[in-house]
Amino acid sequence: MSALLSDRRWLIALFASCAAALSALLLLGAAGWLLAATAVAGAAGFGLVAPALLIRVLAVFRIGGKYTERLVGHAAALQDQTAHRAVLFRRMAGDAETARSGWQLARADRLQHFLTDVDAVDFRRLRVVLPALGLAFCCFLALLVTVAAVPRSLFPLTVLASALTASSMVLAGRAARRRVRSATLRTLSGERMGLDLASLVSLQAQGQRHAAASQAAAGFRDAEALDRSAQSDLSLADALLGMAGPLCALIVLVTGVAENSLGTDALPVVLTAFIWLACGEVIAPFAKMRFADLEASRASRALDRYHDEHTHRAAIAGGDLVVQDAPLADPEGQPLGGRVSFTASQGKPVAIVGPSGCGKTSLLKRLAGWLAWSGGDHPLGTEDRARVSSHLSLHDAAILEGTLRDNLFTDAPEAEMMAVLVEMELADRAEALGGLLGHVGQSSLSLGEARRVALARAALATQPVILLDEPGEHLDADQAERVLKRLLSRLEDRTVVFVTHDERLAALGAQVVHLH
Amino acid sequence: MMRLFRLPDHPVCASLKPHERQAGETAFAAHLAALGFRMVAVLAIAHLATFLIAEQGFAVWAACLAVLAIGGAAGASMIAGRATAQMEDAVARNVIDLYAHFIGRGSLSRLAETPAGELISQIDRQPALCARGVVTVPLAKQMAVFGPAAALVVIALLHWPSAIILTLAMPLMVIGLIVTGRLTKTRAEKHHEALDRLAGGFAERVRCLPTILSSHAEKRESLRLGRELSHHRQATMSVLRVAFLNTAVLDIVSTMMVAGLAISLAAGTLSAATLPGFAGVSLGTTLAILALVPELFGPLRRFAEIYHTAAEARAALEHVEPLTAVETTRDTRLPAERFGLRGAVSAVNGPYPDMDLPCDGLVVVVGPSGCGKTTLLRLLAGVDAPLRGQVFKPVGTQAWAATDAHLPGHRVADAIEKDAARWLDAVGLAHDPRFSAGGDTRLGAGAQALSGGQRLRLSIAAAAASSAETIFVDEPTAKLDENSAEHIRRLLIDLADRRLVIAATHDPKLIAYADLHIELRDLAKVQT
Repeated sequence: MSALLSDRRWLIALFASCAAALSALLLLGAAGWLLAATAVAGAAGFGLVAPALLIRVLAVFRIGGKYTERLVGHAAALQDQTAHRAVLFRRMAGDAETARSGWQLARADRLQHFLTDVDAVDFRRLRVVLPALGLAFCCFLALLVTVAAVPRSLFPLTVLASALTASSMVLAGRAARRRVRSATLRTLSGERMGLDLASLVSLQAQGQRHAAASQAAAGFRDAEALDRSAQSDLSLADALLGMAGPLCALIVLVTGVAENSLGTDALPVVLTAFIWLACGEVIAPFAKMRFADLEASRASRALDRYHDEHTHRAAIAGGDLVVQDAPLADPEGQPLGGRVSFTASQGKPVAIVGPSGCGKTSLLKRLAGWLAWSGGDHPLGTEDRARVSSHLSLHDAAILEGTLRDNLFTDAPEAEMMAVLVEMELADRAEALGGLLGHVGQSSLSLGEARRVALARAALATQPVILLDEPGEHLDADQAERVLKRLLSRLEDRTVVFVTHDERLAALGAQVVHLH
Repeated sequence: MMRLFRLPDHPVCASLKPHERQAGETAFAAHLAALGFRMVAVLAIAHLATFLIAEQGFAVWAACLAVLAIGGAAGASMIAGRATAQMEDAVARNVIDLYAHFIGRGSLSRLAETPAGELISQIDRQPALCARGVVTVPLAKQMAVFGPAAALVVIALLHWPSAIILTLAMPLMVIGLIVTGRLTKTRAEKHHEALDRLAGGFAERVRCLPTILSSHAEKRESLRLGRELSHHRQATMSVLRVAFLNTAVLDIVSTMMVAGLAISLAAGTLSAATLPGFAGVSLGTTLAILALVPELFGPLRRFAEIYHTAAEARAALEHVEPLTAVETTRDTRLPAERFGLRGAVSAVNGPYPDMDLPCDGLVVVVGPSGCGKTTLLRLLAGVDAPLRGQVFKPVGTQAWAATDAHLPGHRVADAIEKDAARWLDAVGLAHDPRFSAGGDTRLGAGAQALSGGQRLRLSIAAAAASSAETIFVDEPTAKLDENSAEHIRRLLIDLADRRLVIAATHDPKLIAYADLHIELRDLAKVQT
């Protein structure tokens, strides 16, 4: 709200919105008044020129005001969006939880829910604050005119306004609660359906596939039903609010009679009545605004969980990475039983080999400072320090929609990038794509190509410690060996630890650590 | 009976029940009734005002009529809202059923083409969009025709010259809307690519955030995101500048009509009419016309407001259409005395040798990687149907154990039907610190936090605890250390005493224990 008054664009939008609303009210009011006044005056010398001009001016103001309000309002809202998303992205990037947990937002449906929340917050001012201020301004204006023309109608108008406000707040609140329940149900059913989809073969073999799909779908059906109930609540509120304009006009006219304003005295009453009639249009979306406001508050609370905890620390200068009798643990920190010791130093890479589930990947993430180190001090000092000092090459690294160059995340000269692409056996693919500026995305690269792009990132990384998770995944054995060999020789001046289940790749390490 | 409201001809409407279709009629009739009530209310109020000024009295009947009409309009709108919601719910259910059918019975290969998250995102969003596309959008469209027509008729009855002026304004407005619509389209097409790409920039970076963090690219990406967002803003504004002209046309025509009619009617009253037919119109009529003009443009504006929804809904309906003709998978296996294959040809791996399988014992499927061991398991289990040939069903129920097996519930005891502790011990998980709580060990939904090896062993335990008479196991010892693998081998041999265990494996020790070997090579044959 305060930001609305300090931002130039929002101020213009607010001003335009008020001007448009004012002209809309006065246009209908003045037109009604003009018709009534001319009827009273009859043919007897009524100057039509001035009122006609006023009406035309009001009409132009209304049209211009509306267009300006929409345009400037959207411009301001888009600026809000830009600022909000930039800040949110920084907060998410700086949140330690982002690295710690398995990333939830890599999946399309979860990302979609998240984006709905972001959108609700982005456009809160445009959808809620601006129209609410316009509504308040209109009602205030109509009340002013009412006080001057038909003061006795204030009491019944207030009673009506309170009743309508209360009922639409209650209905909007109920709709918002239903929406929250439906959103929860959608998330749960989505998770459930995700699990079913991941094990369709076994479900089919056990004859449970159709039942499982129906059960997960039932959750979505209930969510739809809840959403429809919320929609019904809002349409009920709309129906009630739709009565506001005509009822207010009626109240004004009836009180006018009670005040004995008849004949010419009734002209201000008619003006007021028509102003209220015009007000109806501004009042009608009140319940929807309230609902959008509640949704935005909820979304904003949901997004508040991201905190930028990033602390700027200097990276270590390089040197040995000494792990002494460190306990192995799963991603949640539960001990897995075994212990591990090794020393990695520049040019002497360490290979960690072991079966799935022995805690290899978790060990790498703990070395990178992504997961908390248990059992003594972190080999690189602290988790923060480890994070800035290491490059972690994830086995499921994502490809960002964009150019190949963007995907290498480097400031290195072009020649170096090309050299690395050649070493990672990506040169042909890069050429086919149209060079470094060729467009790539998650679906346009094969899994093996994506893996090699991730290795190219590692090759171009500037951190002193390089940690590779399953560098040979999705590559055939010979290619994996060739590529890793070249990568290790390029990283000769760095401390490298890599995890693999392939003994042949492990043999490329200066030291091989077996986990059980 | 004449149909008031025509449902679009789309498969999602085909299976609607008569009473659900009736809801559409009700909604449309209620919308019309609400419009009628609103016009009556406005007329009554105009009369009341006129009476106040011209007759200096109070028209009690007009006040009562206004109250009734206002109430009637609210009631009718409420009924319209309810009926719309009811019908949309029915359509949304139909769309969900289509997805449930696709996921529950559709061909596995087609399902594999869409990433799981994408599919869930669709079942999450498309139903409501489709429902709006076949209910709300056509309703609004129909009201945009009937509403103004009804208002025009009433105005014509009151004062036909005003109705003529308003009618003449309509084609002008339509031309204006078409021109601005074209302009918007051209602009939007010009910026289409930029808008599409830039709009996804934020979502894309959120999706890839861990990768960005691991490469220390957060600052670089944050800057690029800022640049993209501001480009996106400029492109959007460029489109909006013309898109808003569309609503401006409506505003211009409706506002100018109110202003023009008011001035012309006032001039007529003052006997200074410049237009024929505008002289000496009564105050009651002029006020009524003034109050009715907004009703003329209201439905048009509402239709213009849902333009964006209508476009999204159209896309959703198109997207959903192929689901109505989904190829389904059926278990095509025939019941027979002996479980086995005759002349079976798989779509993936070609022909398989004929085989007869026993009722119990350990059967191993062996052969080099990629020779079709898992495919054979899938054929035998009835997961895939053979292109040609016949598969005969085993007796009783079957279980499937693999790293991607379905592990229902949140605790070990939910996944393993009975004697959880015993079976955990049998698969060698009893002493795993992760499973120290035995059957009460919490797994989290779908046991996602477990490693592949742990999931595999848990699924073997679940199969063992079940009453399944045939157990299919895919690579039971592949991801395990020697000690755990030995546990699994012993368990499988035990189970094979009374049940049939079919395992695809590379493990020479397990192969050595087997009662029957199915060796798959280029020209596969069964060896006993």
